[in-house]
Amino acid sequence: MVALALRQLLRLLREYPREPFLDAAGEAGQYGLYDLDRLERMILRRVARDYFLLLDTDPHD
Amino acid sequence: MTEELEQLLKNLKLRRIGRANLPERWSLETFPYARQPGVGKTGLACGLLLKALQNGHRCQFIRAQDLFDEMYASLADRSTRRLLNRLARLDVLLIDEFGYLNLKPEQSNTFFKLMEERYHRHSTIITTNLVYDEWHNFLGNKPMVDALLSRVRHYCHTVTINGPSLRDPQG
Repeated sequence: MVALALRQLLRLLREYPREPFLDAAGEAGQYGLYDLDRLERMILRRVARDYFLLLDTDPHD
Repeated sequence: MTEELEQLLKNLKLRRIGRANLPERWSLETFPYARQPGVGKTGLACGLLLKALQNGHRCQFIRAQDLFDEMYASLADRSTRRLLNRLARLDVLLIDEFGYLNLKPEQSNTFFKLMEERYHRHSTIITTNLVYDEWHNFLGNKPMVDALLSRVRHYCHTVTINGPSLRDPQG
């Protein structure tokens, strides 16, 4: 169980940029949130705007 | 067809009982009888919860410590609203061992919101060693606790159980 959690944490560390990962992990730790799926969602929320930018297009074009 | 339906309903009931997180399957007929530690508060409350489950209601058992931890953790990923919605919808919520916890103001506020949302709508069972006058020391913020207690006590039945501890050494 612990090994699985550590493996998941390692995957998050490798997959996501360091700054949002540390930011999310810090906030999760502050509030006692140790659910790694929820931690991943917190990271995704932080990186969403950097990696999934939608082009500003005119809807009438 | 009717048998299949009955079996389906029976399975649904069993699944609800399984999901309610009851620590032990005490029924009202068998629970050990509760304000001092070990006199059977949790057993009585679990018996009531099981009865509600058997009558088809959605119920949940949660230890106060776990509830407040979950409320605090929900602040991190902004899921407090979702948590409150889930808990506020339950027909019967049993909060076990309320008291003797060090709470942060955010936890007290979230708990107040939960009770506010359940007030007038659904039943809540709380087991505690604390009398109502001691709730201020535990939850802090006297005006908020007064508002909470006025809601909690509006329709509540308080069962005070005095008796020998069921955890007295048997040997």
